[in-house]
Amino acid sequence: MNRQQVLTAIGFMLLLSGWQILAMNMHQILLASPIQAITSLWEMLHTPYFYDNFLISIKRISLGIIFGGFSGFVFGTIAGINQNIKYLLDPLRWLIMSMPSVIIVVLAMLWFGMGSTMAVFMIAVITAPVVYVNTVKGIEAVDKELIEVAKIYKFPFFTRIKNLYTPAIAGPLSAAIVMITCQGARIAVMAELLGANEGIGYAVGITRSNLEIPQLFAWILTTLFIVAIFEFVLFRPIQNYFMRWQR
Amino acid sequence: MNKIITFDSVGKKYGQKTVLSNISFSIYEQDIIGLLGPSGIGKTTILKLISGLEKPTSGKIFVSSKKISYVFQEPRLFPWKTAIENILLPLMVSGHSKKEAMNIAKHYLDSMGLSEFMDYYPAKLSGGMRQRVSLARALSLCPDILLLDEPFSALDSKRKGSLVELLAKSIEEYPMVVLYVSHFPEEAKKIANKIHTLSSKDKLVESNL
Repeated sequence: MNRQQVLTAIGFMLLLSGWQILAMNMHQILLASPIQAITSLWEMLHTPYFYDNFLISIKRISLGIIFGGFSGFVFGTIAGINQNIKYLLDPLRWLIMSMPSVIIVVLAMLWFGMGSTMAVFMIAVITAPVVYVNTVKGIEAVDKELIEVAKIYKFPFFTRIKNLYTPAIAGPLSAAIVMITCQGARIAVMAELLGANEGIGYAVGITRSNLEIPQLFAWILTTLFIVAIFEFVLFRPIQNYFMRWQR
Repeated sequence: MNKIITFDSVGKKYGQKTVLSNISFSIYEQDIIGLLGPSGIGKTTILKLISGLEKPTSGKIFVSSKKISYVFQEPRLFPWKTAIENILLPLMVSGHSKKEAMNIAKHYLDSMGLSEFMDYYPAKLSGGMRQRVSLARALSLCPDILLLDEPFSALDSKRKGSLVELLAKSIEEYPMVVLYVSHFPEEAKKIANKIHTLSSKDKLVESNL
């Protein structure tokens, strides 16, 4: 284990210890202990109810991140290259980023009703500006000297996107993707809690109503697990691939 | 001999600052021009105008070929591409198949003594090696016009000498119009067959060697 891994492991242990200490000092109706949460999760893992809700949330988060990330990247690339487009899109970007998430939930429920479309729409709408802003900033920071090289050697538009802009913004873009993954999971749970009849958020609502606190924390652990899968299994290897030239 | 580049009363301003004013000259086939002059006089601006990176504020510029390569003061390699990929990309953009481009790139890297380092990223190469990759990238395209903007200024005199020789040999093998910007007349004379001296923003003196 290297220094970074050791420190991360220590931080993780401190977090668990803090949780355990808090749980020992609070009523169990307010906070389940880590052991209760893990035991409850283990029991849930043996029920089809868990997998039905887990998989539907994974599907919604994935679709939301794909739509939000892709549209943020495409519009961010265009706006980064063309200032006029950036100025045109700025009011929309400001509107979406300034609007409270709960209002977007209400509007999405009004437009799409309860269920997956509403949740995916919400995740996409809230995450797209994050990718958009990072892409624009990344492209604006691309080395002007390299842009001159691309002009001299007459790189066509898509060659510039692939070989100049995309690698140049890989750093800020991967940071944005990690951010929207965490954000996407949180939004999915909130959207499902408020307007869906399946998914982790829906299950959280049920456990809250029934005061099943260990199960509630088991679902929280499940959400963290989903974010960890996205971040460490999917995005980190992609990030490492794009940033390999820095090693 | 055919005119390859013509400047007709060309002026260039950046904001209110006049960099070039009423400059006229012509460059012909097989001219190898050493472009001399003090720092900040506008030598780089002339190269940028020829390459199309800048547009003139007044006057007209005629350039007969679009096949232009440019070696800047800094290597300007794409840091996320290996040495060979930096050469391959412009070759493929210019219409070579991947196989052809690979053979050409290997040939030029070899001629620069860099065949062992073709898979290295620029960050792993020394300053001199990076500039050789940049030179290989420019030469590999067999341009009609080669623009060199003090390409070896950051190198020590020993490395500079060997690269100037390498460049002279490459130009001999593949004739092209060359504009070589330098502060040092002796260095320029090793390559050039004509010297143009930009003594002020509106005065360019031409002389044969």
